[in-house]
Amino acid sequence: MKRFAAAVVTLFAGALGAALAPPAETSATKLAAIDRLLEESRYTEAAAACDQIAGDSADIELPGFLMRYGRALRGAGRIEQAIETYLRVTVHFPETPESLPCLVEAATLVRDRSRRTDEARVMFQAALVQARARGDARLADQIAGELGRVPERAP
Amino acid sequence: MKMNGVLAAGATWMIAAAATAQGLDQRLDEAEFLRGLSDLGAESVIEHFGHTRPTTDPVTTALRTLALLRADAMNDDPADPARLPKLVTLLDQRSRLIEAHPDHARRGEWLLEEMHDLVLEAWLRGGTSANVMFGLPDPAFDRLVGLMRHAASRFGAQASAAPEVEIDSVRRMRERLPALTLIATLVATELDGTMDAQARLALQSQVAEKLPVEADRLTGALALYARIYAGIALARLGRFDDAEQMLRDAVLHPDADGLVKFTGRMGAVINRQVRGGVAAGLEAIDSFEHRYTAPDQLYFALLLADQRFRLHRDRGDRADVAALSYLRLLEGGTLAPRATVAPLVIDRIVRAAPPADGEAPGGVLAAWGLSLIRHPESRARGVEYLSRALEDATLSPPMAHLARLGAAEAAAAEGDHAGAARRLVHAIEMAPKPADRDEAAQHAARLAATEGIESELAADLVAAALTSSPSHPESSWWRWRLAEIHAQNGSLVEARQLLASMPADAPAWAESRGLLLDVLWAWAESGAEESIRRDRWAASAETIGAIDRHFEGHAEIDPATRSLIAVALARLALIRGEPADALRGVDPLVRDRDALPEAVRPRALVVQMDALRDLGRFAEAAAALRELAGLAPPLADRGVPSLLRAWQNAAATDEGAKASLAQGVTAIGSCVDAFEQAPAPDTLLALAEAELALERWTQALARFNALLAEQPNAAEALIGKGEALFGLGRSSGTESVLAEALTLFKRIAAASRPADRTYWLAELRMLQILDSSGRGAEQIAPRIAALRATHPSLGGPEFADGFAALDAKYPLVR
Repeated sequence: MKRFAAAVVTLFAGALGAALAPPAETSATKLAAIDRLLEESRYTEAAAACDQIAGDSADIELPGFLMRYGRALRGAGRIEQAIETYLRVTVHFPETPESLPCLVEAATLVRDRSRRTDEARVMFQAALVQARARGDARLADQIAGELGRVPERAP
Repeated sequence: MKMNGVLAAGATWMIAAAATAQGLDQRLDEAEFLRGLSDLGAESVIEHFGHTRPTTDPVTTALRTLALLRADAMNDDPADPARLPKLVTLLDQRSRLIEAHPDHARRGEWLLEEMHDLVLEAWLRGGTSANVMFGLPDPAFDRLVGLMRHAASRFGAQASAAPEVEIDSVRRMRERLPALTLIATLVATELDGTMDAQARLALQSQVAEKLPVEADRLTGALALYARIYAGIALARLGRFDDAEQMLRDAVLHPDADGLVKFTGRMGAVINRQVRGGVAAGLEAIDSFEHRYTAPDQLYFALLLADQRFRLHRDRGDRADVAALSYLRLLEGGTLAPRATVAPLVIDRIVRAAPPADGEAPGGVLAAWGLSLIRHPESRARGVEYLSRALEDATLSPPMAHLARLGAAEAAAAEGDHAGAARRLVHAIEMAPKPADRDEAAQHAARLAATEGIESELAADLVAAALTSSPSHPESSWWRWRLAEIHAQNGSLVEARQLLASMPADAPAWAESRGLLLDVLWAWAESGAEESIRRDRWAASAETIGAIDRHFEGHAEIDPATRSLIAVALARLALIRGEPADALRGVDPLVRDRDALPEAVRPRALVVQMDALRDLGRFAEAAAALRELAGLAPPLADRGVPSLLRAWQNAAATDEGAKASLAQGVTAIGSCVDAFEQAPAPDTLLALAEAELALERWTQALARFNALLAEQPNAAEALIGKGEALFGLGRSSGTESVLAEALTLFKRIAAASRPADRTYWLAELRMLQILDSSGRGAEQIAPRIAALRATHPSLGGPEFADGFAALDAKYPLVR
């Protein structure tokens, strides 16, 4: 009987807790949790957490989340998905600070991991134009260096 | 109840959360993503995106296909000719989508994309607009021109009427739409010859009024092009100063790239032409043509020549006269190499002017000739045009040079190597500039390398090339080739001279050392006598040493050259009288059957055989000879005499050599008998003499008979045969054989003089035969007396014992 009562209390408290707590964690809380996993290089867990958030991303701040999602996917070895996720930031949020770093990350993966040099070249060139347009000479130099490491186009 | 209420509230929230759950794909617009991906050329990402989100919706499928096509085009360099056909396919496919879905909610976006890709990507970027507006008509652009002529009304107007969409990329395209539509409008007025004059004027006015406003509003390349097209519209309306200002603003803008500047300058040509006629247009080109003379400006230089041609045609000049504009490109000294420019000039002239008739200028005839000779079916006509062109005194020197080269090329293609060579030598002599002379020399060297060309002709050609262009970058290769021809013809001294005098820093030096070693070997070994051969090897020692020192420790040296060096060094050791060193040099090579190149093995065996011979290891030398006989019978043939004679000499004093000689002679004899070609007489003689020394009379007789069959009067063979018959007759006691020997010795004695050794040998043998047969023995003593009367020494010590024995047996009775 005691045991039954304890179970009822637990169930009740759980239901009550769910009902009274905020409907979900805040965007910042979720991103902080992903950051911790990434800092600890627990990429597979980070990617799984991001997968779950991606399924319902209504309350998440997307550019920051997508950039973390890309990092988690890259660390977990899901390269094609990582590239796609980074480019989501670049295409959908071109005015955000995350846009250009994500483009560079995607271009680097396309060059080094997917070995698609023509695509990598166009991406780095676009990144270079953006960096110059922002007046960021240091970043432009870095990107130019990365572009220089793309193998030459076959004659 | 309360508890139930709380539970119900929680469940309600959970249901609501599920109902409002928004995945990324719901929050982020697919069309916008695909557009962005195609901008970045991200084909593989688009493929991955589609693969992970299967759909049966035809519009979604079409949009993904369009994104892939667009990304593919964006991956190409804007100047790559492959890009435009891809863009045209994209435009056509999107156009079909637009027509198939007239009520689709996003049709406005598609129209915007179509205008954007048509005007900005296909028309302006990559220089298509410059090609079409200033270049020669080219069917490759027909489809695009067709799209541009109707773009403003077909896509631009509809797109501007479409409802606005709150997507950044769509908003950006919408901002550009008026400028794109106005540019397309002006293009239509420029290219549509069927347009009503009033309508054209109205459209030009519209562009002149509105496009400058758009240019001020926009940024980037489109803003500059907007100024240029506004400038052209103003020029067409006769507002020349406004046009000039508009065009200057574009050309001088800090963001203007080479294509923008060129397009702006060509706009100024249109402005001047409208104002002052064709002459003013040509003057305008003159004023800035100097900017397009660098090698990387060839694209623009060609378009300038096109524009010159078009202006001349506008003035009413004949096409073949107008086409001479292209010849200016061959005159400039700073453009790309002639080999790059000439084919373009020829192609342009052929496209610009109809097939030349009798009155056509030489330059046009030459261009047509050079074009026609490329195909076997038109080559004869091409050659005829070329010869007519060369008779034209007005033919420019560069074109005349090309015509001479073309005539040579045509002759070579027809297999007339002599004719081609004659023309090339003429081209070398008549070359207008050193670079042209080099080019003709290069052609000559190339012809010399043609398969089947007569070697003497090839040698003449390469020699002509070397004489005319001794400093040509390829001259060391030519020198190598000439040496090779000389070597093949047996002119070893010339070959050696060419190769040995090649500077060590010449490009062909290292690779030609193998040939030099070959030549040195052949030259030295071709000496008729051993002393000459030794001298030649000694003369080559320094060269071989230098080659060895150069390649010492070089891993990249090819195995053939490395082994040639080793064999040559071993050969030199033999010459120096160091057979042990020679053997140490070649033994490892011969043992490593797989590593030693097939061509070098016979030489290694020769050196090994000679070294073993000199070391007195005759049986091993014979083994090397047998292997050599299987690989190179002539080399084996040549080695037999010295081996057998050395062996024979050694056998006189060395029991071991004597014991092995019989077996060795038999084995070597079998080898020689297996030769397909008749062995050298000296080989047969050495074999026969060896058999004689072994007192194998029958075998010796057979060898001497074989030799006499080839050389019936060979003295050594006659004597040898006599000796063999003498030995055979005496050992078998066969009188008939002795009689035959007697006859032979009589013949020898009659043919020789007392000063000859053979005379005394023959005299002695005749007396010994008389002694052996017992017949005519009474003649012996008087004959010796008679001989002694005139020649007291009786042929000297060699024959003293023989005569003394007869003297003792048949004393002279006085």
